[in-house]
Amino acid sequence: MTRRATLIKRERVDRPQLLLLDGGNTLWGDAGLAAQTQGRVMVEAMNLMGYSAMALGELDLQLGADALRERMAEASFPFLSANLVINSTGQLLARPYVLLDAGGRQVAVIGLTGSGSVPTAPGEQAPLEEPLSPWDGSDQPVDVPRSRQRAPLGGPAHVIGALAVTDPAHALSKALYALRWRTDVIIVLSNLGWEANARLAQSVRGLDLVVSAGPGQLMASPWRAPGTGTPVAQCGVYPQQQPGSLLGKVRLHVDSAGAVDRCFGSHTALSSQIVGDVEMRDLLRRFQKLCVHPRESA
Amino acid sequence: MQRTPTFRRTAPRRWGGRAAPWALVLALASALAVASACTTGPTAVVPPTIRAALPSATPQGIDLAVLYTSDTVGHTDPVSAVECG
Repeated sequence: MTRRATLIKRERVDRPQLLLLDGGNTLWGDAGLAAQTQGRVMVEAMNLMGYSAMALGELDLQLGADALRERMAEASFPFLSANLVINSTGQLLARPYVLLDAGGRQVAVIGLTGSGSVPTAPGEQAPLEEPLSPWDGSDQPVDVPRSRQRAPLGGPAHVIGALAVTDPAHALSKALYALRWRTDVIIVLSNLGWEANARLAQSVRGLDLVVSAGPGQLMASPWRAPGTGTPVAQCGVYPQQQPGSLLGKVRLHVDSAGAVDRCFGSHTALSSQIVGDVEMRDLLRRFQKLCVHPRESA
Repeated sequence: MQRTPTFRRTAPRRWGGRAAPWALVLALASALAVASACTTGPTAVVPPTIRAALPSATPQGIDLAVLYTSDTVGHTDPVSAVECG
């Protein structure tokens, strides 16, 4: 986290208007400060780094609706999900999209939440078991196993505690309709996983970038979807061996007709050669003390 | 008996107080297009209005820089021992 903060500060020197996005599955883990603070340390760290928006991922939902609302209140950036609802009321838990200003341009970021990749507790809806075959990078349509299609796209709601992940295709449609004529650039921030996101980019025209997260594969140089040309990039995978070890970068140019004519991307490894940011280190140490000596700190 | 005129705030009178027919058709077409595309595969169905206009497009177009992360599952640092878990 300290190295990530260093790199982000460096990038902002050259491009103060850059957007900083997180694709989700971020707030919570099995152990460590994030688990012990129910994701609060992650939110405070992302506040410090100046995140523009974050999509809620299935793993984040393990915190529960109440803790998520607390984290949303603490965050200086919006949590996004167009397809995450409170099960009892059907109302959205978070904002479906946000309009951001990037150097005088209106950039819409739409959040989509995946489902079926995190093991559920006994009694809850069972996760989908059919394994995903790796996408081979060809221009052929991605063949998503039928059982996988059901949860991420077009299937019934996936219930996680008091929350439900609904059909992302329908949610995306509603968001796009609400955004018509209001934005210069449309980015989808989605943790449906690589294959579903690739299919989305192939199928829906008018998207300028899909920032993909969740199950699947890393994609440093953005893949251009056949037919639409929409770039898709992914710098994190759930589950993975070394989470948080990469920072993704994308630069794109949208021409006056609204087409993405240039797109470059890369991953930067947060190696030990990068000097950690002092402010971030101090923040983490504060939480560490709170974590080790909660009574003294209180 | 003279009736007091009433005023609707929600929709133009010419559509009888309901949403305009073209807006309903547009909404339905857009919803069907995206849902169909996402569930049946890459058929290049185009939502009709999404890229209809760039509000502030210029001949130079738009340059955009994005940094992004994901799936960090609560790790505050991949290497250091800052965490206390």
